[in-house]
Amino acid sequence: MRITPALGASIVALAVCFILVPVVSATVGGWYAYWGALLLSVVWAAILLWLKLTKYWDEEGA
Amino acid sequence: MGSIPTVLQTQIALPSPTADSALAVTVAIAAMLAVSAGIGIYCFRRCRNFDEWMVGHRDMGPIVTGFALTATWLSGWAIFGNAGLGYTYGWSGAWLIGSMNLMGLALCVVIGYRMRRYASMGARTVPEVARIRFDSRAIQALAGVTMSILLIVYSVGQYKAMASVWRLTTGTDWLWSLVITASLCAIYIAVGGYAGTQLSVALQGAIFMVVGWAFGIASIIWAGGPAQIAEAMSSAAFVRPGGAATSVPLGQYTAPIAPSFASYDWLGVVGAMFMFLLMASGFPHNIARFLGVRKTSKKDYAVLMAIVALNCVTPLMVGAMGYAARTVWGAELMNTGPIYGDAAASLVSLAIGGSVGGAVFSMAVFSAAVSTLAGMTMIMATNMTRDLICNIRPKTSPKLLLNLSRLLVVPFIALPLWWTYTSPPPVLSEFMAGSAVAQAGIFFFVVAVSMYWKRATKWGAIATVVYGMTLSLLHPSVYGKFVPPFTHWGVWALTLMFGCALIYVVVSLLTKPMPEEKLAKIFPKSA
Repeated sequence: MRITPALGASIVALAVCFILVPVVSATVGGWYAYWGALLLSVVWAAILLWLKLTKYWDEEGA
Repeated sequence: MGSIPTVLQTQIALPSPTADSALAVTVAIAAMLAVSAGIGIYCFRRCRNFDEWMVGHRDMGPIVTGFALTATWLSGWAIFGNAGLGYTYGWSGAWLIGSMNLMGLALCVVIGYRMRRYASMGARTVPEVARIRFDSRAIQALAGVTMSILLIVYSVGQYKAMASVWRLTTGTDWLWSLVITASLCAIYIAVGGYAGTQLSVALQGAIFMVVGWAFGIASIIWAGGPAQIAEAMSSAAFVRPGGAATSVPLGQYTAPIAPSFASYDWLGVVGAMFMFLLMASGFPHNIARFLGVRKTSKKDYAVLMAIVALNCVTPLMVGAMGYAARTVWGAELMNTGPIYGDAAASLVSLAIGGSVGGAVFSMAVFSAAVSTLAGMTMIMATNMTRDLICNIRPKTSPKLLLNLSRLLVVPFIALPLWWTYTSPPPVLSEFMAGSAVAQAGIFFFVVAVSMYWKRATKWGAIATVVYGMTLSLLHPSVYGKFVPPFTHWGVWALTLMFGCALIYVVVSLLTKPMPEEKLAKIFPKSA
């Protein structure tokens, strides 16, 4: 698998979303952390969907 | 107990079951199960052979698949146990509530679609995907047996959810409710097979999404609003099941209750985060939803992801019901076993909506628990027939295998039922997390990663299963309590999951891969 700039940026963004969840929980806490985790998860899902549809779509030819 | 708003505590008493609530709950649950069973019977008429019983006609669309996927993903843990987590552990319960569960399920949506390729090569069960991938009957049998063991443990949680909600809303003995529910569940799996299961669980997924969202929002308003709840949680302290108060505060996202608690410290939290990231793809009953999906367009695929995202909010809504209950009633529920804080969601639904509210929420809990149970029971039954019996005696007739699979639904429903009746776990979701870590660690690599990593070998997969199952025994509540540092949940979970990753990669790299001509069929050049 070749790492293109778009793919590299997406992987970094996914990692940032994942790491921000406990960071927000430890620093902000409360409801903001609770719903913030969901918001970060939505961003994560959107990035994955974009990657699948634009970069890896044609591989499921079954 | 923290400084719970006194006005609310005195104004809103704990609801008790009445004859009205018992009737309403019975009707609601019976209606949901009857419709589900009806779908199963309808699918039975279309199901002509063992293959079709296992994967239907491979024509499931994105909406059915999306709801079915979230329904098998979000079990009694999410729609019932999450309120118990919020109620019992405050903000620190949010990790097991799955505040980031969408990350894992979105990953499963992206990875799992490749199951179609294996289905087109003849795979009808998840272990069969492993057989085709590694050209090994041994890994198929090993994976089948391992899945069955872990899924029996996971099934116990579904029964606790159903038994608890029945007892709380009807006030009657719950054994018979379990027996009746389990029987209906068995019927619609046995007759409907995959298509029946897929359509039924999709319906159930839609039910609990609507109900979970509605009650989650209503409960926040009912408890006085988000600020009121946040204030109550900031001064609440942990109370042990049985009622013994402690000074451990619940206003933070970690709570030093005991090392065996997942949110004991940040190491435990990291363990819980990785569990949620890997387990959606590692759950065989989840990833199996893709075996019968039709080839989709990009638009369909986006619809599937959107449904998944919407329903992944539901567990957080149910978690909010737990926070609302804690705000209004303080730690009172911790005094009453065997349900303790897990009673929060049902009681909130009764307090908000009366008999009708309780009935609707109970229907949602049964929907969630039965749908996951159906998916798992189906997997366990076919593990025995297709992955074990057919593996050892390939000439067994398909008709015999089909009948045997239908028959095996009964013991796989009865075993966890008996376990739950005789020894119910005190905090449902905490108990289920043990099995979830093992499934995440083992099958994320053996099944999900193997569909993509060409260099993976059967020895890597076998070593991962053996390691994962051995580490499972070192769970802090099993033998880990005698073997430090496995007294710490985070250490145990991370050692299991990252150990599986390491062993899978190292053993695969050290052993010989499948011949190139066989790999070329599984990984075509265009892919």
